[in-house]
Order: sequence, then C-alpha cells, then structure tokens
Amino acid sequence: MQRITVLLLLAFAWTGVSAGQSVEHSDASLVAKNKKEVLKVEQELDHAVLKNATDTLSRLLSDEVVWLTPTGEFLTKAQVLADIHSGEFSSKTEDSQLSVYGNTVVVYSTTKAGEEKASKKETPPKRITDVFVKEGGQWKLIAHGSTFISQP
Amino acid sequence: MVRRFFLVSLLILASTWTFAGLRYGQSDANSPEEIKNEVVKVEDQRIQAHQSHDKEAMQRIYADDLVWTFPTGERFNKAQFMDIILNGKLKPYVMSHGEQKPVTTIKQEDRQFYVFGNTVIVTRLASMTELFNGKPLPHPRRFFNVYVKQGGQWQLVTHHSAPVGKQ
Repeated sequence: MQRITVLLLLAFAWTGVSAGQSVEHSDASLVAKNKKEVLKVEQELDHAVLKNATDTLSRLLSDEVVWLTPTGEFLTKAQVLADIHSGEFSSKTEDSQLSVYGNTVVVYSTTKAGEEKASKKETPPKRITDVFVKEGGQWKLIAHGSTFISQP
Repeated sequence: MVRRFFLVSLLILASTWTFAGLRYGQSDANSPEEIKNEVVKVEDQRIQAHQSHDKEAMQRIYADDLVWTFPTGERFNKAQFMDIILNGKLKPYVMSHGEQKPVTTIKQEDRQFYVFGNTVIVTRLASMTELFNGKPLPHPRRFFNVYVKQGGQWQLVTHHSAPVGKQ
C-alpha cells in the first residue's frame, strides 16, 4: 500500500512538471505557428481585394464580422463584399505587429498614404486593427478597424 | 480504501488537465448569452474604473499588451493609456450655457455584443465630446472593444475608434 502511495505521488509530481513544461513549450511554439498562419491569411486578404476575389474574401471573413470604416461606419459582411472596390484595403500595410491570445490573434498595422481604388482620391495613412479567431480549423477575420491618422 | 484512493487520484488528475486547458483559453463558459452577460459586467466595471480613476480595476481589466487606438489614429499601450486616464488627460465634457461641464454619466449608445467563443467584441457609438491634453478629439465616434478570456478572466486586449463622417 505504501509503495502504491509513493508511486502515485511520483506520478502526480511528474504529471504536474510535465504539464507545466508542455504548456510553456506549446505556448511558444503555438504562438509562432499562429503568427505565421495569420500573416499568411492577411496576405491572402490583401491579394483578394486587389484581385476583387469576393469568394476568397467571403471565406476569410466571419459571417458576423465587425467592420469599422475610417468614416466611423459599421459594415456587415454583405456590405463589405459589395464594397470591395472602395479601396479600404488598397494601401500596403507596414510594420505589422501581432498579439496572440491562444486562438485569437490581433494584428496592428499602419498603411502609407494612398489613393482610393474607385475615386482615385488621395487618402492619408491609416491605423489598422485586424482581429482573427480560429473557427473550425480556419482563421477568420472577426473585426477590422481603420482610422485615418490626423492631428486632434 | 484502495479504490477511494484511486478515485481521488483520478479527480486530481482531471482537475490538473482542466486547469491546463483553461490556460490555453479553452471555453469554460456557457451559452453565448451567459458569456455576453459576463462581458457586460466587465465592460461596465471598466467604464466605472475610468470615471473613478480606479487604478487597480484598470490593471485587472486591461491586458498587459493592450493597444488603444484614438479617433486621431494615435496609439497607446497600457501604461500610456492608464497615465492618460489616471492623470485626467482625457476629459469628456458637455457644453451648457456656453460653458464646458464635465460629463457625469456616460451613455451606452447603440451597444452591441458579438460572441466568438472566448473572444467578445463590443461595439458602440460615443457622441460625447472629449478633450485630450486640452484639445478636442473628433466626435462623434464609433469604436469596438475586444475582450478575451485568459486564465478564467475577461480582459480588454484592444480598443479601436474612428470618427463618424470625418476624413
């Protein structure tokens, strides 16, 4: 009986240590993996907009996506897909930074000054916040916010 | 006796793995409605914390890597944003008889919640006027807040705001 107790205690101790190690190890490798996957999806999104590929865009956007335009409007997924020509995504993003929270990833970026695809009107640089979650093994954009950089 | 000992052992093991699962952000919650109610509570606490300059509550509610985007496109981290709030650099006000008066109640205009498992997005319209370091910020504005459940606690990870109709 004593031997069983000792063996069980050792097993618990090992389980605890091993769980702790695997959580830490997995945390680091999972973060790196998620960052890589989400950056790829961001590139796919940019490409889809440039090519007016509504099918790809539809696949990458969550059905309940929260889309905040730089003029302070919330658009539904259907409105975003219908408005793909507006130029919301047209400027190249730079200095992307990612924050990972398990299966949720937030991407912060800034666009250069550019021009709208449709109107050719010049637009100031923008701050972009994109939020992705993994749904059924697939990264989906659940929120997008963009704001023109200006002086108060 | 031996059987009881094994049962207790199995329970401990199960709780260990449940805890490990929570660390990964797996859902320990319930229906979308229950999740929404949890986030409503935290969002209300956050607003209260701003108004009462409650540093402890803000430390708890804001994720360490919080990013706060103003309607001017300026971005702030947790320390910078808490400094703004705690030192009164951001002041909501109303005009009354030609004078600026501080806002005592923040209206929750057009507030919506979107639940994606352990991630919740809150959207809102803010029509109040605000001074930042003495200068007016663009208004009205719309914004979203993103909450993520980490270690059993809802935390605000990002806020993004854009002025209505401005370019």
